[in-house]
Amino acid sequence: MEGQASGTPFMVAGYLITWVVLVWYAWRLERRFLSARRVLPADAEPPAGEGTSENG
Amino acid sequence: MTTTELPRFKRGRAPLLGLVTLIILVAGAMAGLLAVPADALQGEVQRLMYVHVPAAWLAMLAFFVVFVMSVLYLIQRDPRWDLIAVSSAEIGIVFTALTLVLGSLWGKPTWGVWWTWDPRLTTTAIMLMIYVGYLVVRSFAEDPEKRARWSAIIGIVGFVDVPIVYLSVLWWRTLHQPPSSPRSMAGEFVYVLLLNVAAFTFLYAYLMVRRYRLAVAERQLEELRLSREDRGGR
Repeated sequence: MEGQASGTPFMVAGYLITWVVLVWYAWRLERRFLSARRVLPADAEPPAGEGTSENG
Repeated sequence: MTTTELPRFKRGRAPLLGLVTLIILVAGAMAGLLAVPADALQGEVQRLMYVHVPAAWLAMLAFFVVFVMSVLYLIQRDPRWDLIAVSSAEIGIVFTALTLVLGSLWGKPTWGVWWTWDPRLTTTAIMLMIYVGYLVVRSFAEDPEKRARWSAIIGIVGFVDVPIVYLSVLWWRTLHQPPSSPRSMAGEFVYVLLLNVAAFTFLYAYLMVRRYRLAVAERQLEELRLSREDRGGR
C-alpha cells in the first residue's frame, strides 16, 4: 500500500529524533553539572547527584 | 535556608536508575518497532504513537509537578520546591517540543500537513510558550527569592493550560484523535503503549535526579557569588 510505505520515513525520523534529543539532553545535563562543579571551590561541598548522602 | 540544607542523593542511585531506564526504554522501542504489527489503516507511521503519546504524558506530568512544587513553595518558602519546579519545567519543555515534532511527523503523512491550527496543537504550542516564558522570567530575576516567587506564580497560573490541552480534543471538533484508551485500541497496542509510558516515566525520574543535582550546584554557585559581592560591597 502506497500510503503505508510513504509513512515509514516519518516513523524512522521520529524515533531517531527522539533518541538523539534524549541522549543530547542527558549529556548536556552532565556537562552543565561538571562545569558548575569545576567552578565551585572544594569546601563548597558540591551536590553530586549520587554524591554525599544525608540531608545537610 | 542555606544550600547546605538541600537534600542529596545517595551514591550509586542515579546510575542504577539510569541503567534501569535505558533497559526499559530499549525494550519499549523494540516492542513498538518489532513486536506489534503496523496499524491496518495508517501503516508504519502509527508506530510513532509509542513515543508521541508517552512524550505528551511526560510533559503534562512534568508541568503538574511544577504546579505542585509552586504551590508548596508559596506556602513554605523552601527553595528546594523552587529547584524541583525549575528542573521539572525544563524537562517538560524538552518533552513538549518533542511531542510537537513527533506529532508533526505523524500529521504530515496522515493529515497531509505538518501543522494546522487545531485546538490540540494550538493549546500544546501555548503550553510550550508558557513554560519557556517561565524560564525566561527566571533568567531576568537577580534575587533568588523574588525569582522563586515570580516563577511559582507562573507555575500555578500557567498550569491552567494543561487540562485544556488534555480536554481540547473532547471540547472542540479537531483533526486530532480523542485520547487513546484500551477501548479504542487492540490489546497488544495497549500493552506496548503502557510499556513505553512506563519507560518514559522512568526517564522523567532519571532526568529529574540529574537536573535537580544541577539546580543545586547552580544555586550554590549563585550563593557564593552573592556572598562575595556582599563582602566586596562592604
